Amino acid sequence: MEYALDIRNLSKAYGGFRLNDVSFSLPRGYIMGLIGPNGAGKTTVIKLILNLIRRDGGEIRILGLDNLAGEMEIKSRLGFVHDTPFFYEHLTLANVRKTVAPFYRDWDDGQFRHLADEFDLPLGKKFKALSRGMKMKFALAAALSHKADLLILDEPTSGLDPVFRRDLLKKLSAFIQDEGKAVLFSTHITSDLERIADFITFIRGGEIVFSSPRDQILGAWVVVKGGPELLAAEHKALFKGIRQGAYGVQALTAEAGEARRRFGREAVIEAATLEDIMFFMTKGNGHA
Amino acid sequence: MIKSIRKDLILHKKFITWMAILYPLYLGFLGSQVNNTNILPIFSGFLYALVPLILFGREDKFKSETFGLSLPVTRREYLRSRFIFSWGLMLLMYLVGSLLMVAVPGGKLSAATVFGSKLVLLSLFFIAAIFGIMMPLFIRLGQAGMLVFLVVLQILGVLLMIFRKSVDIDTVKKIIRLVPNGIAALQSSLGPFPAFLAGLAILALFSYASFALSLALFRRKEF
Repeated sequence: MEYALDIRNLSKAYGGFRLNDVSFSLPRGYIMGLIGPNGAGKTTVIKLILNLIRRDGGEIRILGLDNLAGEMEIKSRLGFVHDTPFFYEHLTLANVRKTVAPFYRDWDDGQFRHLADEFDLPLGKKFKALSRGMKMKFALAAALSHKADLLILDEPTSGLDPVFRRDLLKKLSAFIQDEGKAVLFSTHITSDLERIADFITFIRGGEIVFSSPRDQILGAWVVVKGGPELLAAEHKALFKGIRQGAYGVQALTAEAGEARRRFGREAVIEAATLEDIMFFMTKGNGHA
Repeated sequence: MIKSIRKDLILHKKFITWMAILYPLYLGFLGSQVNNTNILPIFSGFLYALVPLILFGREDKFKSETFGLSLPVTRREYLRSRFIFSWGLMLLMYLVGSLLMVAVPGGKLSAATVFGSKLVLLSLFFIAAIFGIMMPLFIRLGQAGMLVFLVVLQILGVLLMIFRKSVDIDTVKKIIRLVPNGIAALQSSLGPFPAFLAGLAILALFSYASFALSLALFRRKEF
């Protein structure tokens, strides 16, 4: 299989944080959601992909090329949106476009103007005068205007209203209809990923917890809601996270079949959402 | 590289216009009022070398390098364009400043002195030296790097004043005069024009060394 992004044994340590042996692959023609709590290492992975920070070990291959050796070629075929849209604050959007466009050999000004129109971007306004949502829209318009083969989006939907978020998700789905293209999408808004992601990679404490097809994850992971019997020692290994509250016990497991066999009618078993998985895996060892 | 230079021009258009007018005007006027050809190159070196670093400091402030380096550009190319852009700007300001020194009515320096190979080389030496030392510091420490350089120079000056009785002042003078004396020696041994070319070659080498050090630091920098 040809990968748009292939990361092997990536490691990076800095300032008390350690990204440890991170590996995952994104095939062409798919969208991957990168999820994890704050400080898990999502932005670090994205910065390593873009060569904004130096890796300590491992390998990153983008569109078949090493991300350091083929940096120029890769970056011209890659669209990016950073979590904080750092652009040139004192320039108007039209002038920011003037600085960005010449860097891309396949810049499509017609497409940019079409998107600027569609996103209601005020090209005559200074970047610093825009809301966070509008800044994100501008970054997205730029990322989608140079025929990129891979989009790397770090929290692109934060600050966007629900209507535009849905439009954007549609755009991303349309983007990968050309099967040579792919999207890596980091977000806290897991419902967005449930709508469009084909693969989910969950990172926590600098380590990959899982990187699998979304349907496989949502089919296998369940939340078991029941009484204190769930806390019994023989069930401990089954659960990835347990929350004990005033009204009972809730536990997350990746073994839906086994949970149904053990608890049958004694407990309520519900399909887990990505948010459930993130919540239980991060906070799921104590009281609710 | 042209793309990066063009980006910097668009980015700093207003600032460049003001600085490229004000600094040469100031130095042009100052140069027309003094006839000390030793102080003038040091002074212009400081002022002209500061301008590009102030410009890049603005990008440091906006954190826009994270964005700039996400574009299809390698760090080497990014930095090389900054060096070329800086030299272009400094030379332009130097040229305009020197023309003004001559053009201001009642100026004390003749065109032959201002554009003589000794003063030109001396001025370029101080521009290259100050910019060449400050740029790696700026890459490593951001705007604080410029302050470090200026503070260290001031501390050295203060120390020299405090210990002036125990320091052999003649040795200090010899060190300060090393550059003009070196240029004079070069001119007398090679002749004016070959000496001028040799001087330029030495400055180019020094600037390349500064670029190489800056690049090594820039490659390690994380955004």
